[in-house]
Amino acid sequence: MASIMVVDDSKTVRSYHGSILKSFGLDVVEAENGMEALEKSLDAEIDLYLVDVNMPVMDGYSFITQLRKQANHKTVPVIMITTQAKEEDKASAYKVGANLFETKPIRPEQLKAYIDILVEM
Amino acid sequence: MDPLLEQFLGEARENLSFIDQNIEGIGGDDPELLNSVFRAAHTLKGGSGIVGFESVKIITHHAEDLLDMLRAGKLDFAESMTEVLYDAFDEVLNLIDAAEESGGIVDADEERVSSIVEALSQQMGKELEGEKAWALPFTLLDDSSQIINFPLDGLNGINSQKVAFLNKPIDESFVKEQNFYAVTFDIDESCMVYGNDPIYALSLLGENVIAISSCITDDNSKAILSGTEDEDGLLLKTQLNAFVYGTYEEIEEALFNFSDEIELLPLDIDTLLKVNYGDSGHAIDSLKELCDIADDFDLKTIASEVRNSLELVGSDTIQYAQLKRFLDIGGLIKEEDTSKLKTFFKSLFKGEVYAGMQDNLPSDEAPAPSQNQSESPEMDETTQEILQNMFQQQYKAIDFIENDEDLARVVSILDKMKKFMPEIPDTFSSKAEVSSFIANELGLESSVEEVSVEQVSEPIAQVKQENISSQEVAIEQNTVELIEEEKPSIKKVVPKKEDKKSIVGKTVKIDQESIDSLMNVVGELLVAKNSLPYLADNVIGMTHDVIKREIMDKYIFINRLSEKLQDLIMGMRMLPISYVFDRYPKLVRDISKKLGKKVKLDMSGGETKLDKNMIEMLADPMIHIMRNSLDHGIEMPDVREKKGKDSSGTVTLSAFAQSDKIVIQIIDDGAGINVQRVADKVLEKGLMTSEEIDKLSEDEMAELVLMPGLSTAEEITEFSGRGVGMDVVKKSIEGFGGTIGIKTTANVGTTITLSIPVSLAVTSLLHILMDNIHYGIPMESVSETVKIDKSEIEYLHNEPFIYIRGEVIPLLFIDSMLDKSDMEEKPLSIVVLNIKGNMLAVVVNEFLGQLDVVQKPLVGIMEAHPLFSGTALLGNGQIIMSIDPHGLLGISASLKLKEQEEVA
Repeated sequence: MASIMVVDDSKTVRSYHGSILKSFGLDVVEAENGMEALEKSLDAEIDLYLVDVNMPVMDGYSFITQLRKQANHKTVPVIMITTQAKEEDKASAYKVGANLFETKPIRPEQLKAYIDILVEM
Repeated sequence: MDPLLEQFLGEARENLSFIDQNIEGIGGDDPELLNSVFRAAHTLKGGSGIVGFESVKIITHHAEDLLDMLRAGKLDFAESMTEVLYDAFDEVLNLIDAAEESGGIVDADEERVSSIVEALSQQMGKELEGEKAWALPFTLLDDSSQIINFPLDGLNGINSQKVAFLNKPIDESFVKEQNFYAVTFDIDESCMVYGNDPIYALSLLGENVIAISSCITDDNSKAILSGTEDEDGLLLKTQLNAFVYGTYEEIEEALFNFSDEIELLPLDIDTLLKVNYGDSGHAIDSLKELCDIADDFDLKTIASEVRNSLELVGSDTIQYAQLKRFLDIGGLIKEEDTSKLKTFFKSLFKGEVYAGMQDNLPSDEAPAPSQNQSESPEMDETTQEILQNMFQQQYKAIDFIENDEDLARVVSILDKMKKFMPEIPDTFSSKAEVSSFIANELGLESSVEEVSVEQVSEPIAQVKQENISSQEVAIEQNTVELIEEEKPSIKKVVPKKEDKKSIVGKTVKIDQESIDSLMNVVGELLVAKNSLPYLADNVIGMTHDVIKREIMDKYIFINRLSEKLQDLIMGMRMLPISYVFDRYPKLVRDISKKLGKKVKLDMSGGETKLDKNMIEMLADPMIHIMRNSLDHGIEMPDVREKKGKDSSGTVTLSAFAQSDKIVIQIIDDGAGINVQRVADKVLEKGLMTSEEIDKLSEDEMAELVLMPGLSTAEEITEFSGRGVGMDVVKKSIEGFGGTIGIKTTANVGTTITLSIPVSLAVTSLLHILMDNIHYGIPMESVSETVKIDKSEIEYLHNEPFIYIRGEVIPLLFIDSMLDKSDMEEKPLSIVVLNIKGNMLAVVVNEFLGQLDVVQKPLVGIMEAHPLFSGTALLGNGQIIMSIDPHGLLGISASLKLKEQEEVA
């Protein structure tokens, strides 16, 4: 079964995305910040990352930068999720190695489409 | 320096000098004086808080408290208070000085600060923390209906009785712990004018503020929250309610500027959160719900979850009504949103958000992994949208591809998209290929595409080029970084160069009137300028005489205007000398305290105006002189009493204008300079011979202390007496065209007189001609010019002199500089000089009138020239040498000596 990691400091946001993903029959790994996510990325085989931008301890940009340094994470799909997406935010997201950019909240049907496209079930 | 800090430092200085001058009188009968000192302290406290100057804030806060208690009559004035307040504000001044020097806020010596605070507290009768019975540090809201009526008034199902206000006694530990408070502000409508922004102050508490509302309208409170409130709105007198979660200390810290205006009401969170299900007729209670989601009962966490939820849903589509209760506290939600919120939270909590919609989805089955690539699965609209969106995003991401890894990442996404879009090729070899493919798919006709068409025919060359270009990009970026790195380092150096201690801020306040008159003069100048082309047009056909007259006319007009302009601008540069004087009360107190002497400082003439630059330059020499007076002049109290003087000495500082000079006198009633000892020292050091000393008058003897390398103090103290004292002072005073004089009487005191030009910028010279060379003599030394027939010259002991109104004035011929042939058959042109009371008549070839010039000092090998003090430019570009009158005296003296030798 495929696993998705939801990285967000807000429990509400994590439960929101998590509950949708679980309803698709996916494994969900939650992380409160980049640091926790990075630790969990070492243990679990993750097929898709949903990453918030602003988080305490380690923010989304730093997390992705670190993640991409791992040999087995060079191409794993990463979607950055933010409240409002400015062009320069997108630019920095692509620069650090995010694949896609989406505005919060991702509607269930959108999330479904992303999973269909990006994750091998 | 941070401009805000700079402004604060400037203001603080003003306030401190005001306090300093008036603190002595706070015990007097004038309540207004005490009030104004209090206000100055209050302003200081407010400003220091805004710029974050913690130590200053702490000190001024306590000083203000003391002043406030005096003001309110809660305390009786005691002499010792003045001492303590002086100490407190002196320390603030020290901190301000240090901040100015370092260009930023400095850390204070904590021990010093706490000892000052302790002293202030003792004056207030307060014991230090912990030693006294604990008292509630804040004002309790006596009318809790204020909170109940607003904004909880409109709560659905929860009336005021159910919102639990704290009933248990408030003790010390309650105040120290984080608690939930309702804070009400009765904001003075003028607070914004004084820069006290309550919303900003609240924002310092960050996430601890759970809601803010104003009493005006709900809309208004929303506007305040979103920061769109206009200025007029905030000028309204209003009441603000805020719900803050924190310790009292944190709240007080952020809102210290409003400490008089706020009232607190502790709320009981536990009860607030434990409202029973069904009590209000609601199936689910939002706060309860939120608590479960947030896994704890920490209101702060809940508040941040509420924010996140708002973020999640978007403020325009508020669809979850179970937040209503919570949001109602802030008056933020409308009645009709309740049901929507309710559904949302109910379903969210049960993880059913998506479950409900799944039936509606066209295909519940996820695409099978075994799906054939050629066969694309059915696509709903959303998937199509997402695919399109992904394409667009990848197209943008291409711009950020710098290496193979980046490329692989983009390609991997395209790979994944392939199962829905079979047209995507299996492999991509380069960035350009990806770019052209996506552009094509998106229907973009880009230049990239054209390039790629060429490149497809030459794939190998293209790949190479790609590598090169990416390298180039990298290089470019490196250089950009380098440049950026250099910038800050340059910036760092520049302020260091300008780091010269400046007493006066770099800004000058100018009154409206000056600007207006400046404007008028500039207007006239424009008119005058316009008349010149007119004259040029009409010059043909005019005789030379007419042209000359016309030009002279214009010259006179323009000259008058430029003089006016100069006066006006110089006037703007003028500042009261109090800028320098204001620093001395503290200096005197500091030094006399350390020396154990009692000294009173009298100042007068602080309003005398002086050029800004001059004020800067005066500061250091003046300090030196003051230190000398305190250290060597004023005696110890017991010595003074033995001499029959008042035990506390007096130093008088006075400034006044005298023609185009400003005279500053520093008078002490101390021991006076021991002239004999100075003379002995001079002899001992071999600076002069005893014959030379014998010739000196009493005053001249005193001025021997100005000679380099002399110190008469037996002991070297911290403040003065390193032997590099007065000569340096003399040099710097003379450096900007001033003079220094000393008069001293044993056991009566010493008077030091500084006489300095009002402005540095422009000097008036008497323009003279000697042997066809132009010279200038400073007008301040010129007493008059006369023409005298040679026959009127008299001789005494072979020395020439002239009589002017009965006064005998020695006459100086400088043979080597004069054109003697020109002087035959003509009366002699003589300039009569008054050099520090010494009269001297100097023969010149011709006087040409008065000149106003910008004088430049001599530099290099000419620097210490005995006769010339500077140069200036004439209107025609010719250089004019400015003669130092003292130099002329020197020549006169050496000529005498020579003659005497010849006679001998």
